[in-house]
Amino acid sequence: MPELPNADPRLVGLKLQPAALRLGFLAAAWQIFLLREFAAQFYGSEISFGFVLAFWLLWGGLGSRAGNGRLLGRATAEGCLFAALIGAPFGFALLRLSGPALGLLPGEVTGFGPILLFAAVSAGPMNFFLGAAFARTAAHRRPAGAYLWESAGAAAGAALSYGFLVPALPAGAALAVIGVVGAASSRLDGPAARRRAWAWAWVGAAAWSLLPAFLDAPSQAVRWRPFELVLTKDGPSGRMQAVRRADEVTVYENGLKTFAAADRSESVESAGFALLQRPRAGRVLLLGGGWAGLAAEVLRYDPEAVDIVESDYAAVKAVLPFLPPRDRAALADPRVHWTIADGRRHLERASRRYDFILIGLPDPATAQLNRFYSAEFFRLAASRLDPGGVLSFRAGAAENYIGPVLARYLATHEATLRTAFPIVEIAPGASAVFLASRGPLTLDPDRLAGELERRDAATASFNRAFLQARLHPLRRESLRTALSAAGAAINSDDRPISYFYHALLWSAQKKGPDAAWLDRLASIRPSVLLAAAILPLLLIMGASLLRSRRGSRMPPSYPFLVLGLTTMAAELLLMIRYQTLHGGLYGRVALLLGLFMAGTTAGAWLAARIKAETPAAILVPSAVSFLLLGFSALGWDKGLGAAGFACLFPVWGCWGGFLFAALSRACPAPEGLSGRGYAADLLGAFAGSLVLSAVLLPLAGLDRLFAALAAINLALLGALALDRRFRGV
Amino acid sequence: MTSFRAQANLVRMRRRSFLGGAAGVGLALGTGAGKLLAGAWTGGESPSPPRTEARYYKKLPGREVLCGLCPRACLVADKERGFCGVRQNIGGTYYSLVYGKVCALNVDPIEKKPFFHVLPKTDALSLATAGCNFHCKFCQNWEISQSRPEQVEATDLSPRAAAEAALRHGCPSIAFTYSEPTVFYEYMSDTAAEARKRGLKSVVVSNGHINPEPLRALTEKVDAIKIDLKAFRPEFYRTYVRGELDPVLESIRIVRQSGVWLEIVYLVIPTLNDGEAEIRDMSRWMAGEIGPDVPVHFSRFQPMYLLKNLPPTPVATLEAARRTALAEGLRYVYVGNVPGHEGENTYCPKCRTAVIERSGFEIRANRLKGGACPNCRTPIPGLWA
Ligand code: SF4
Repeated sequence: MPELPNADPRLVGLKLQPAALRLGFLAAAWQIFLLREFAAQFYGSEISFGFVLAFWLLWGGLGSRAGNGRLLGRATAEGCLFAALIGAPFGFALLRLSGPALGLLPGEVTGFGPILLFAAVSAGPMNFFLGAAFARTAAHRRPAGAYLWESAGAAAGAALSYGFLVPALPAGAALAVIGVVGAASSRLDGPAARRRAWAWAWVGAAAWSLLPAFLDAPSQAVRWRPFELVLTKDGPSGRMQAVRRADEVTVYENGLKTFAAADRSESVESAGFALLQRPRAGRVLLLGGGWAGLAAEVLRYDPEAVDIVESDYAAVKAVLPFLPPRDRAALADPRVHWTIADGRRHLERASRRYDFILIGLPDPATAQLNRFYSAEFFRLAASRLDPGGVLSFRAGAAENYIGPVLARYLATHEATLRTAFPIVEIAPGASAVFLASRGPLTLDPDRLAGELERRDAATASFNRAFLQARLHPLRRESLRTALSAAGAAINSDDRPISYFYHALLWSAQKKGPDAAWLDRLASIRPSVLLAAAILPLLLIMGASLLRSRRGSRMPPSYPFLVLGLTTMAAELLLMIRYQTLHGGLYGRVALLLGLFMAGTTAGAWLAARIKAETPAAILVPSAVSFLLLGFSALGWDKGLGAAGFACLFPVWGCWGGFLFAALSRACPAPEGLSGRGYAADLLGAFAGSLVLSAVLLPLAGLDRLFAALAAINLALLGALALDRRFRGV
Repeated sequence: MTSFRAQANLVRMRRRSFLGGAAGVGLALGTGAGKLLAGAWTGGESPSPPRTEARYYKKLPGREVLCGLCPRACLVADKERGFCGVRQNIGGTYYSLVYGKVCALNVDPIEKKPFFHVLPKTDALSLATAGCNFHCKFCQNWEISQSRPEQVEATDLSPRAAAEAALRHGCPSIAFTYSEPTVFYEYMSDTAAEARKRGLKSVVVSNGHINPEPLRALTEKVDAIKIDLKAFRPEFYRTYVRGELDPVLESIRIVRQSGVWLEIVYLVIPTLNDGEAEIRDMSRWMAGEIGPDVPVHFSRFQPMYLLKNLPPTPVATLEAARRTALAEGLRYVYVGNVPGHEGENTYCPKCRTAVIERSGFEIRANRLKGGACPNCRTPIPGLWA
C-alpha cells in the first residue's frame, strides 16, 4: 500500500487513473517474479517469501516517503517511473548473479544472511522508484482513487502473470514483457506535451526492459559455470535445471540436487532397506524421486506394480532425455504407472492399498516438502498401506557423528512417524533411512543380507559387507542414543517444525550468528515467543489509549500498525497454509496475490462508495477480522478445498483495502505529519513478515499464529471502542 | 591469536559415559544431561573442558606460547586458543582440550578409510575428537571437525580403554580418523602406544598438515598413515581448505622415508581439482619423490557440507585420472567410492593378475600368497598380516 499524500482523504474519485493502474500492474507483476526468482535461487524456501515481501514493502514505503519529500528534488512521476523501469533489470541481474557475487561455487549452500541481504537489495531498484512514482502521481490526483486504481492494476498484473507470463515464458522474457508494457503504456498516456517530452525516454526504457530476456539463459549458465547447463525449466513446483559434466547429468529443483547420475546411493538404499522388510515387493507407491533412479532400484525387487506420482510432469518430461538408459528403461517398464497429481491428493483419493510407500523427496527444506513429513501425512499414508505395509523415506544425516542439532531434526522425524506407526526403525548413515510400519521391521544386517541374496538383488554397493558396516550395532546404538537424548517435537501441517529444524541445520553449517540465535529461539516455548511478540503491540495500544484519556487529539497510529501486521501476516499465513494443504504455491503465487489485490481494489472501492467514516465502518471490519482469524485458528478453513481456500485471499484483501481507506479518513494525519498512519501500517507489515516467516511460523505453528492475530485484533477492537478519538468520527 | 577467544555463546558439553555391553556389543555412547546454555542466556557458567599439557610448543615471554605441532605455528596469548580450537594457552602453559574426549566412535571396514594395502577385510575401531587445522568446504565430518570441544558431545575414553575396546570388537587396528588426528596428537600417540602393547595396529587418516618433528615421532608409534592430498595447486589449498600444499608434500616424504605404510587419497572434485595437468603433475611428483609403490586413490567426491549441491564426480573423470597416474608409472592406482569398478581391485604390476578383488567394502577374492602375486610371485607391498 503506497503512501497517500497529505491531501483531503475524503476526495474519492473513481475516474480511471491510468498512471496508478500502471504502477499497480508493475508492482504486482514484478513482485510475483521476484518471489518466484527467490524461490528458484534459494532452495524454494518460503522463508525467503517473507523476506522478499518485507523488503518490498520497506522499499516501497521509503520510495513513497522520498516521493512526498524533497529527497528526489524536482523529479516528476514520469522520472520516477523511468528510474523504476531502468532499475528492474538491475534487481533481476543482482539476484541472478547472487552466487558469483558472494563468491559461491556452483552448488555451494548459503545461509540466511545472504538471502536476507539479497532480499534487501534486489527489491530496491524497482520498488523504491515505484513508491516514489506513486506518491508523485497521487499528489496531482484524487488519492483514494489512485489507491483504488493502483490495486486494480495490481490485480491485473497478477492475473496476467498467472494466466500468461508464468506458464508461457521464462522468467527473463516475462520480466521483459512487464517492462515493455509499463514503458509502452506510459508512452501512450498523459497530455500530448508530456508524451512528446518523454517519447524517447519510454522507447529507451522499453528497449532496456528487454535486457532480462537476453540475460536469462546466460545468467543461469554463469551460475553453474564451468558445468554445462543443459536444461532449465520453470514448472509449478519450481525451477528444474540439469547440468552436465563428462556426460553425467545432475538435476536440480530450486537449486537442490534431486538426481545425480554419478551417485545412485540414495535410491539404492531407500529401495533396499524398505523392500527387504517383506518377502515380496507387491504394490509400491513412489512419491517423488520415481524418475530420479528410485523406480529403477525398486524394479530390482520384482514388484507387482509401481505407481509413480509426480506433480510436475512437464518438468520431469523435459529431464527424461538426459537420464541414463537404465532409468529411462525402468520408466517404460509395463509395471510402472505414472500419475500426474499432487502426492497427498493422490493418497487421499487412492482406492487401492499399497505394500510400500517410498517418499523420494528432498529433506523438508520448504513448507511444500514439509507436508510429506507431517503427522497428518503419515497418518494418511498409514491408512493407505496394507496392515504389514512399510513407509520409508531418507533424511540428510551424518555417518560418524550425530550432533545435537541434527539429533533433534532426526528425532522429530522419528517422533512424528510414531504418531502413525507403532514400529519405527532408522538405518544410520550420511542419509538416514527411516522405516515405519504396523508390522515387524528389522535392521539386522545378517537377516537383510540373507533376504538380499535370496532375491538375487545384491549389487556392488548394496551387499552383505555394506550392510554389516552400515548397520554395525555400535553405529546404530550411537544413533539411538543421540536421538533419545534430543528433544523431539511432532512435525505437523500446522507447526512445520521439521522445516525449521532443517533450516537450523542448514545455518549451523555456516556457523553464522543466525544459527546460534535460531537455536536459542527453538528452545523457548512457543507461547512465550508469541507473548513476547504480542506484548509490544498491547503496550503501544495501552499507551495510546492513555493519551486519549488525557485528552490528546492526535490521531492514533496503532490501528494502522495492527492493520499492516494483520494484512501481511494473514497473507503469508494463508499462503503457507495453502501450500501445506494443496501444494504448488510456486505456480499459483501469482493467482493468489492477484486475488488478494483484487480484493484490495474491491475494498477500497467499497470504502469509496459507502460512508466509510463512521465508527461502525471501522469497528465492524475489525470484528470481521477477528472472526476470520478465529475461523482459521480453529482450522475450519482446512475443509474448504483448494478453490474455497483461494477465496479467502480476496476476502482478506477486501478487508485490508476497506479498513485502510476507512482508517485513513477516520485518522487524517495532522498537517506536517503526512503519512504517519501509513508509516505505522508499513512498520507493522514489515516486522510481521520478517518475524513471522523466519521464526514464529515454524515454531509456534499456523493455528497458534492465527489465534494470536485474533487476540491482537480483539485487543484492537477493544481499544477502538474505548478510544475517545474515534467516538467523534 | 585473538580470533579464538573462548566463545561460549552456545555451549553444549554433554558428558557421555561408556556403558558396557549395550546392544550386545559391549560399548555404547550414552548421553547424560548437562546441557548448559551459556552466558547471558541462562546466566550460567560454561564448563571448562578438562585438559592435558600439549606437546610441541614453546613458552614465550608474556605468557604467550608458540604451537609447534602444525605448520600454522599459532602464536597464542594467554586464555586464547589456536586455529584448530582444541588447544588453549592457560597462564602460559599450552593444553590439549581433547585428550580422551572422543566424540565419534565406530567400527568400520578398513577399506572405508580407505586402506587397500593394510589388513584387508578387517575392521578398524575408528575414533575422533573435535577440531581440525583445515577448513574444507567439502568436509564430510564438519560437525566435529569444525567444532570446538565444548560444542560437541564427547565421551571419556582413555588410551587404554580405546585399545581394549578395539580388542573387544575384534578389530585388529585402531584408526584415528574423521576429524584431523594431528590436533589430538597427544591422545593419538598414547593410544597408539597402548594399542601396540596389545598387538594391535594403529592407522592414521590425516591431511598431512603437521610439522616434521611431531610427525617423525608419530611414525615411531603407528603402522600406517593415509594422507589426503586435496589438490596439487597451492591456490586450491589456500582457497578451499585454508591451508598450504608444501607442508603436506613434506609430510608425505617423511612418512615414506620412515617406513610406515603410506597411502594417498586424492578426492577429485569436479571443476576444482580434476584437471588432467594437475593430476599428471601430482603423479609425476609421487613417482619421483616417493616412488611408484605408494597406492593412490582417486576418490569420487560426494556432495557434502557447503558443497552439498555440487555434482558428484563423473566416473569418466576418475578413470581419466587413473589412466594418467598409471601412465606416469604409479603402480597401485585406485578409483574410490565407485563400488564395483575395476579400479577398486589390486593388480599385480608385473602380470596384471587381480590379486585382490573388491566391490565396495566387500573383498570378493584375496589371492595374495605371502604378500605376493600368486601368478608371478611379484611382492605386493603392504601390511598384509
Ligand atoms: S595444531 Fe596447528 S592449528 Fe592447532 S594450535 Fe597448533 S599450530 Fe595452531
